Amino acid sequence: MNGLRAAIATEFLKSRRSRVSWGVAVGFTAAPLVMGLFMVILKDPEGARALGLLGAKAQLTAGTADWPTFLNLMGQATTVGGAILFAFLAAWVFGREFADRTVRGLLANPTPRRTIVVAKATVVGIWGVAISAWVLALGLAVGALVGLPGWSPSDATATIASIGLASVLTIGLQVWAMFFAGVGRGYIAPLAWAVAMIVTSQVLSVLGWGSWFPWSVPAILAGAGGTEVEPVTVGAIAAVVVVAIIGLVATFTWWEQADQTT
Amino acid sequence: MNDLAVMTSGLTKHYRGDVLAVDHVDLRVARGEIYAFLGLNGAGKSTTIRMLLGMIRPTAGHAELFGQRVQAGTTELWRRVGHLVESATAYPELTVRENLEVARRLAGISERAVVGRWVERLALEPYADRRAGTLSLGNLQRLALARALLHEPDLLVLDEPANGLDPAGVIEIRELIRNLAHERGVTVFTSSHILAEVDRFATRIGIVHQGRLIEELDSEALEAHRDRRLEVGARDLAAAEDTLRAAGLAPTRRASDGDSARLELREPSALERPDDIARLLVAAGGPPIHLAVARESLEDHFIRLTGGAATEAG
Repeated sequence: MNGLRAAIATEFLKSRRSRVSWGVAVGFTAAPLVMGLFMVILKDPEGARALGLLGAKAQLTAGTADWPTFLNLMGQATTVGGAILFAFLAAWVFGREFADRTVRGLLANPTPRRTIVVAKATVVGIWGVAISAWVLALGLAVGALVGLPGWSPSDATATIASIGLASVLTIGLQVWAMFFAGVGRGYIAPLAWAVAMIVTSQVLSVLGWGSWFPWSVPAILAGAGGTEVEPVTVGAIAAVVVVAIIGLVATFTWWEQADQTT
Repeated sequence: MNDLAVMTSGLTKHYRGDVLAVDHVDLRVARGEIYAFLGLNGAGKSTTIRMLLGMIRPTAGHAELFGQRVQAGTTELWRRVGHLVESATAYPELTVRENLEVARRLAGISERAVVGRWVERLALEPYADRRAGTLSLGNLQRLALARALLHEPDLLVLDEPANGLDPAGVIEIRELIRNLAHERGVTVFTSSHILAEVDRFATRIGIVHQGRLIEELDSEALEAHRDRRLEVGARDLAAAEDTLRAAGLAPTRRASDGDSARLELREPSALERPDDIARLLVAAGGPPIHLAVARESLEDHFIRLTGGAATEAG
């Protein structure tokens, strides 16, 4: 237990000093600000044109300037954006050890490799949850500041809960980015994997099979598919959890069994 | 009690594509020894070192450290082992002190002062609060050594420990390794390509070639194996050669390095009493201009053994 605490502390130290962790946080922070800007424009397109915020011939098709639209956009941003930004985080936390060849110091070490993996996954998870919570809180503040109409406490609570759950599932699926950071010994493989999953999710969602594909589930849960998509079932959420657990076991196995030649 | 710090039995590693990196290597390193592991690039040194540290799984055979079998899941064993594998690495965004702090925590050392002690011991104080990414290669090597030594291990496994160090640093690290072995009984298993350096501190040497351990000798045996000769230089080399032959000796001409052609004598009488040879040549009217007992360097011995394909071991 002490080993785990020490490993988590060292991973947090590395994360705090890293530009990638803060870059992901800043990148995510842009989402509610941009959504807020869209809402300002949607509320008053003519005023926005006069201010130069909207081109003369441009039309915004995001919907209407209200809380349901705004929260829907936030859901898409945190899940689709999260799928790539959290992959950056996971790719960095795991892949940097191979890119910088610092993994050698983690292998023949009194702290078990499994503990190192748990510590790294914990840091990715905590950073991910903290960034998601911050973005959601900032989104709510921006929505209130813009003065969006249509606030319904019960609807908003349900949507926010869905976004929260979707964010957690998105973060959970990053175990595969962690796995590919090891197998690919660096950053490229996990990022390529993340892009491949996003593209596949989009294609399957368009074809109507999204809820069957674990990597599509968080975005659908957060409302990215609109009303035409089947609602996400408990079974689909369970499938995401199972896929995440398989990824975690695969990551443990790789760290303990693979030849470490970096 | 097992007196071996390192023991391998039939240690073998086959990579895909029919690459035999290490071929049935049997090593025995006693506690307190400084064992130098020499070989050309690709001879199998780093693969062997990684197998000793549980980083690579052997295809056949096994390794033991202090009588305990090395496996990937072994953890307690690493409290007794410090290592520096291939090039020195560090977290570039962390300072020297923070890098050591990370190592301290992962090694489970509760005493915080240990970091400062090794910073001081390896002359890293001026750089202690500097980010590791800005360090010179030599200082990065010191940092990696400090990390390897932080938990005061009983066995140090070092791959090219003098890499990137300036001459003063090389001497300093040599003395540090020697002191650790002599004063604290630390066993050192090191690979190095600076053969002259290894020659100065190793108590035993193993030479690996094409994955096989082809020779293993202690410093006394190496001394006995070494080719010794008396080098003789004279203005008239032909006359000197005739004089020596007339005295019953068998001089041979050494291949000329430019203008420094010399005669070589290997007779024990000549090696033990070079002054007699000088007297002989003076009496014959051709005094020597160079007279020296030379011994084969470890480098020469190594090249002779591995077929002379390279001028340095890697």
